[in-house]
Amino acid sequence: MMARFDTGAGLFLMLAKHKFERTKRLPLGLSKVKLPLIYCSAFIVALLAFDRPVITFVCLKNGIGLKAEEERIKNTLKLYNACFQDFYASGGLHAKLDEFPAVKPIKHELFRDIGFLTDNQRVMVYDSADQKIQKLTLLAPGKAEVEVLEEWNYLYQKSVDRKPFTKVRGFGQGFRYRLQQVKGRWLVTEWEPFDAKEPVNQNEFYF
Amino acid sequence: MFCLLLPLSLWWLIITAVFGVKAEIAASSQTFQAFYLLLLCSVAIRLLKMIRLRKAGYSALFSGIFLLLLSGMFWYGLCFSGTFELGKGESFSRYQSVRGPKWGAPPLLPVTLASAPSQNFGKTVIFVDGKLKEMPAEGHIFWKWFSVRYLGEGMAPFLLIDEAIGEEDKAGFVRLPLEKEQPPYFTFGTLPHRFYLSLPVKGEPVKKGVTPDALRIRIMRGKINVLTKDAKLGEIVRFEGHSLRFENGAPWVRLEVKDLRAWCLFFSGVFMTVAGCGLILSQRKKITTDV
Repeated sequence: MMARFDTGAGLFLMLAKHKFERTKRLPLGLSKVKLPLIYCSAFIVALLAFDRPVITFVCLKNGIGLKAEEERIKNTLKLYNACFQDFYASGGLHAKLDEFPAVKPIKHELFRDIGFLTDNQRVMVYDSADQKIQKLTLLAPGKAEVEVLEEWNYLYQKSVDRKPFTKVRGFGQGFRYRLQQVKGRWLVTEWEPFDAKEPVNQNEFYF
Repeated sequence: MFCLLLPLSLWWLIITAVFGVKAEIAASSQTFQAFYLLLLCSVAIRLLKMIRLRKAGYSALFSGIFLLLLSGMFWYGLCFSGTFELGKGESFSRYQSVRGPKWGAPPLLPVTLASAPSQNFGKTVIFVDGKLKEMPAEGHIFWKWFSVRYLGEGMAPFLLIDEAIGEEDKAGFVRLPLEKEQPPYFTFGTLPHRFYLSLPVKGEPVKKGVTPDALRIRIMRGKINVLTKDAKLGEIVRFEGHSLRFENGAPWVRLEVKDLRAWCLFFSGVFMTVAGCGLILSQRKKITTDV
């Protein structure tokens, strides 16, 4: 009776197979080997059906499909910076708001800054000169951390006539981004500056 | 039971030992959780059967296994550990960092800091659920199922933006990070700037409970580093049409809270399993002797 409870707990297929073997009066040893195999197979099938994120993460952690995923994350950061530039250059137009791969608090912070500039009759024009990925870590299924050395040029313009009132300035800064996959799309959830090591070849900079 | 245990063990071993993935991620698999629950039910049924048959040894053994499995479930889904920071007289409001629980939310703790170690001869004094408790520097206290441990003490200078004394959104205590920690940023009111406060890189070590003479202030707006400066106590720092200065502050402590329910279940499980094995063996010996 207890064996029935064990085997019959949602796994009808296995129960049927087990019963079939018992009715056929197979040697006891054979069914004892087969049943665990059936359970293991059911486990694998369920894993493939319901645990894709975990399986994908295990594969990525061990280098399977890692390059493609890294490329997706890099493209997300490129898009993030491209939208970032556009928001500032347009003085806060919302055209690319849905495209911008970031969570709400990041968007709010960005538009608070643009609002601050607008209040001061200024427009800021950012230009991304380069962005070098220094470290990419997959933290958990659907979570990643990326350290990027970014080089930017920027200048301020007057809001009224868009005439520049500062010279073009440049800077290099390390940024640590935290990303999360939401509905298959990578989004920036947090960022913070960090002191990045500059590349050995200084000529690679565009200032 | 064995049939359920086998895929679970194999998955666990392969994922953690062979592929080097964290145990927490291995346990986050829905299939793992479903099989684990089935195993728990299967053990519970066996336990009931043994109780009905009045087999004391096996009953103890299965209850031990049941408790061990239950502790695993608690460890993953219901237990948590977290850190929180309190200034003098401040009550718990939020966790600084928290791990778990997967099912539900971590509880709000009725904890208020009475005094920091630098103010009370190396002992942290806190009110826990209305009762005063003293905690030595390396020690911890227990409350219900939780242990509360002291992690460190830092300083929180009083920061003023635009000399706005009394304006809550432009003045307040800002906690400096503990040693070797990256300073977290904070914002003030409607300003878009991020402020990072830390000790100067080349400075003398600061005594506990004393506001440092100088601080490294870093202000960022967007991607631009607006200002990085080592400012002295009371010195006015100007940035983008605003000013900032810091004054003497107050100490704060970081405490860690751990949920011990999983450990209680685990040790009870180990005890019952060992007791069950002992009973079964002693009964077998008795039968052999009788024969």
